[in-house]
Amino acid sequence: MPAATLGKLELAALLAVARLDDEAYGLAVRAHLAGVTGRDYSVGAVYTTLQRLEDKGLLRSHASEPLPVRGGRSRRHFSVTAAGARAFREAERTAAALWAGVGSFTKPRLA
Amino acid sequence: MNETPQARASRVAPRRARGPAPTAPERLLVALGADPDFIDGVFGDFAEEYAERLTKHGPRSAAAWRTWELARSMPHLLLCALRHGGPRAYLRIGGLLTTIMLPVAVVVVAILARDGAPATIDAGLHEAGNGFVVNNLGPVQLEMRVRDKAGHALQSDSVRFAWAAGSPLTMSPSGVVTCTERADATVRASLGTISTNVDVRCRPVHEIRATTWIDFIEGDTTARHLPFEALGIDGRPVMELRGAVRIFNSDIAALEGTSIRAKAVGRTVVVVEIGEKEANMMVVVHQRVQTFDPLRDDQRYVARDVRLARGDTVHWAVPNGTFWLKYMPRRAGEAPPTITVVGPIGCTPGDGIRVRRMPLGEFGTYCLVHGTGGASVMLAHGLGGAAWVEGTLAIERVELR
Repeated sequence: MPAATLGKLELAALLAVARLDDEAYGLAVRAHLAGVTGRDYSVGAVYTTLQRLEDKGLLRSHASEPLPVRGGRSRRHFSVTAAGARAFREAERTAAALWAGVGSFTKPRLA
Repeated sequence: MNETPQARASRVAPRRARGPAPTAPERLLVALGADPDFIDGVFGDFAEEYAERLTKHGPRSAAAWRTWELARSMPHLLLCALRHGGPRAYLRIGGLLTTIMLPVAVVVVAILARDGAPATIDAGLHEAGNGFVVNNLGPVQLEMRVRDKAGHALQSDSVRFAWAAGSPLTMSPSGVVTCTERADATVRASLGTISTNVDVRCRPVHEIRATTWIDFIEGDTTARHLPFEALGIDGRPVMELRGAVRIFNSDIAALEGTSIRAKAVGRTVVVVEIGEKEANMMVVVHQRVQTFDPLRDDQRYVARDVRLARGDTVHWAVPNGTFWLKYMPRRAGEAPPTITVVGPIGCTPGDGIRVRRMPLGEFGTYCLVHGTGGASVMLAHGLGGAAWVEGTLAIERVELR
């Protein structure tokens, strides 16, 4: 089965979930993305991305027990599926292939 | 993996029942087709981060963050809800948008439709008798008021004017009139099928003559007419006037139409504008004092009552420095006492005339005390004339910079 196509934010969110492991829920993913990319994504943007990844079968989720700190709501924890892992490996390979041979051009050159 | 929204909703419904009651945005999103479990997660994150910000930054900052975050998240969440809700969600949001947009559209249409065809034309309520008083010497535009049947004001640029009767008048078809002398004419103003006759009364003002000062004594709260008169080309007073009066500092005195009322000790300026002419008047509210010497530095506008019987003479010490010395009779038109300055003091316009009569009944002179002081002012009421002479002697100290 070919790996799903990923957008930039989708790939970042997928990797964030992989990185955060058991602590991968919306708030943590959003904080991680802000730290790595320097961009303050909205709660809605992060969640819709996570749900899109889940719809694509790249993530799965489960709800925690309701927590007082969340006003009695649950946390929705995400984890990477096998398809998700294949997707980001594929993205890594694609990126590596694209970058191959262009290293020398990325060095700063004097005008 | 390929679970339908309905199946997902039924799976999570029992767990949702344990949580708090959904808020209005949650209900809206779920009604549009969003997964309740997904929405629970989103709003749980809102609650968790809000609680964290509440602890760290306080309630105001936390509330501001939540409002902003919800506002920028809603477009994502609405699109997500639509995607998951399918055709039914599109129908629902269509209905919602119609509900919101219909009243907006009605209001917009009402605003656009409010201006109808011109129905009435006149010179405006501020001009008496459907006419204009022109105090300008140069060209001036006649501004008509055009309204539709509902009374809404319309553009008046397209109104056309033509002389109809009375004195000859220099006027362009667009209504630019030039009044070089006193004249009364009637002109016809037309716009499309509607027209009206308006009177144009040319009363050009050549000069505004005003007092230099308007002096008040602290505590005198009676309103006074602004002491100015407008003169025409022939030098005669012009009684029909249109213009503006402004005061620079309304804490010192207040304008009431063409009258003025004192409010607090100090000095300000009143400007009268009529046609192209302008006049400035100093308004000084003096503090009533028992002596002119000594005075504190902040006592810049002071006045003493004068009441002299026939044959009386008084000497009052005056402060060092530069000041205007002014005399105001209690009753307009009454002659002042003989006022002379004594000692190391010089007053304009010369030593021979100590106090000069100024336009419109003022008495004032500009004085400079030389050296360290010792100057005084002498007021004397001779043996002739009225039994008493009454008024106020005021000092307005001048700060030379």
